[in-house]
Amino acid sequence: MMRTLIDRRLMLTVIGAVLLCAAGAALVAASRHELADANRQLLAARAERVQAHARLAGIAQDEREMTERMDVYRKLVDLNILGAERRLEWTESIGRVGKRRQLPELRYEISPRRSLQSLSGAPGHVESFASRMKLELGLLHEGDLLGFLGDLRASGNAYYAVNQCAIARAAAPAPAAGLAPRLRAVCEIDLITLQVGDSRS
Amino acid sequence: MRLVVYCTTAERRVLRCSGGRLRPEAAFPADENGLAAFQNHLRNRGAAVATLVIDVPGEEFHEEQIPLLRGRDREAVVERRLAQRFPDARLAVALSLGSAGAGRRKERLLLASYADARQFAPWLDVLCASRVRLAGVYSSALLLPAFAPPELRSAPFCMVASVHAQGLRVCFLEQGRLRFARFENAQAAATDQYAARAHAEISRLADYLATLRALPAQALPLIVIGQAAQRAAFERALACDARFALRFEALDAIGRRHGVREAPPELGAEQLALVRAVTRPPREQFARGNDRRGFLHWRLQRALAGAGALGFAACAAYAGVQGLEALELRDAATALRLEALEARHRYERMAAAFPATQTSAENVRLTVQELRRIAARTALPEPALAQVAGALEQCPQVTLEALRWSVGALVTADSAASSGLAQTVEITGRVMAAERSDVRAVDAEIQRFSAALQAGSGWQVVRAQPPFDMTVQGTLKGSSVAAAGSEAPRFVLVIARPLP
Repeated sequence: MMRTLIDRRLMLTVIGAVLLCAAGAALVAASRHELADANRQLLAARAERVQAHARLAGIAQDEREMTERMDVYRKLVDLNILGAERRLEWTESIGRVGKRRQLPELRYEISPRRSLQSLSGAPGHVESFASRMKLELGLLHEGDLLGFLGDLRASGNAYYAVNQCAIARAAAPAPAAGLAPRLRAVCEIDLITLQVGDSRS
Repeated sequence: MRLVVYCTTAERRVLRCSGGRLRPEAAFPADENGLAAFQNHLRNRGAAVATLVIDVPGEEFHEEQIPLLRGRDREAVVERRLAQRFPDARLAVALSLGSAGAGRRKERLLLASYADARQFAPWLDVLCASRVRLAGVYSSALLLPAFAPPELRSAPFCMVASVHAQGLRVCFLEQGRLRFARFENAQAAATDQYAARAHAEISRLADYLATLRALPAQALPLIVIGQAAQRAAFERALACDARFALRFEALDAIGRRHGVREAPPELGAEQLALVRAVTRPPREQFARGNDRRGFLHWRLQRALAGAGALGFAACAAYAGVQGLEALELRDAATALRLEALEARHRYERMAAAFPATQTSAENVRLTVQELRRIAARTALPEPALAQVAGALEQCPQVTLEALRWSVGALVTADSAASSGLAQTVEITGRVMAAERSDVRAVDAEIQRFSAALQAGSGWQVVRAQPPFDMTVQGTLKGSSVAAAGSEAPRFVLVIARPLP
């Protein structure tokens, strides 16, 4: 009886000791987990701080870039490249430039607008559109083409991206003909406009 | 709670020992009534730990030799010898006296027991039946030699005599180990009488030892532990005996030195033994395994509980340190985050002073980015045409028939594989001055024109179609007669330059 009691007490003590050790081990495991977590947080915070300080240190460069961007942006605004397409202005500009350059022939055809790749970033959104123009010009000399393209760019209302231009000698004009073109140029130009945020139409 | 049961011939005294303090609890006569009272007393003591210290005459000591063994083998041999020497002895002990000699692999044992050990059996039974655990049974002969001065204790032979309340204990030590002991009931009214009687007792023991040839020729160191008041009497009694070199140790002083802080005044030198039995008990003692089972279990339980608690405490301490470290890291992380937040706020405050925009800075950034992306995929035809015009000026014999400029995938001359965007100019021209039959001159002019086109501007000829097929697979035609109205030799060159 007494011996059984003693054995039971011994067993209880063993169980208690094992439980205590297990509880201790659990504490150690929990504290190690906690420490690893705290380490991760510290590393993240350190990276965050480095990034914030680097950004702060580069604020002069940011300001310079911002100023440069603003210059470009203002130029885009001044040239009416931002916003909806201005097809009416395009036709007027092409006619006006052709007349000023005294081009013997001028034909153009503007295709429907298509979307180019759009860029999105928080919180802004920019989309670009292009309308392809096929342009046929009769030229007295090759300088007329370069002058025409330069004038067209200066007229604004779009970003003029020339894809291709072919220049060839024109057929010999009739002797009675007056100011006949000596060269023919066929160009393919994308008239690109940009639309920012909710300014799309 | 630690109890000490001090057993003498006349009574059993129960004392409580704690921190070097001995406090009397009860005293029981050594008879049936005392035993019953002792049993009742133990019922109220709960799960205490008790140690028995016995001071009675009639101790038996026998020296024997056993083979030099270790572990269980030695235990078995010692048990057998004890059983042979003291049959039916419940209290017996074997004390090692060291090896028998250099050449003989034997161990000397001192077997000790009581001539009348049965008188303690009922008391031990009562103890074992109660919840009190028996830690051990000691004779003061096992405990008191430790109080002798170390320099004398380590002498080849010495004798320790201690004055107890109920008698005189004399221990004979060899190399610091107990070799023989006696307890004699002795009480006298006057200290001189007591000292004389003690001298007689010590002399009798010395005579006995002399017959065993165990005494040295020179004076035997004799340490007497007694009350300070007994010093003079002992010195007087033993001064005339040249066999002994007396050294008297006052009980108070020796008690203080060995941590006895309080003891009942009626106790003599046995108080040293009682305290030592609790605080620093020697390994050898008289109780056998069965009587100490409860104590051994209790000690095992305590060890297990202690180990568990220690393990838990160590883990908790380690976890605590880790937790503190984690807290520090979290604090550091919070400080860094605050610093980052402050830096962001500073940036925002400074950015607020940037040039005003009609739209958000992000929209401006994206717009310019998009424009740059588009610009990177396009080019102006003017520089290409200027390059062609320059080459034509250097080669007046070449006239231009047609020109096609475009932006598209770059086609290399050899593989015709596409590799990024490039400006391409396809030039169709004629070599005017050279005769068609002069293939070498025509070819040289085209080569010159080609070189002029590529001169220092990044343009490369990616395809050439000369007027004559000079390849080994082609058909090469020629005539020495100039055909009327024949055209100047026509060629095609395609030059390209990758977009930046």
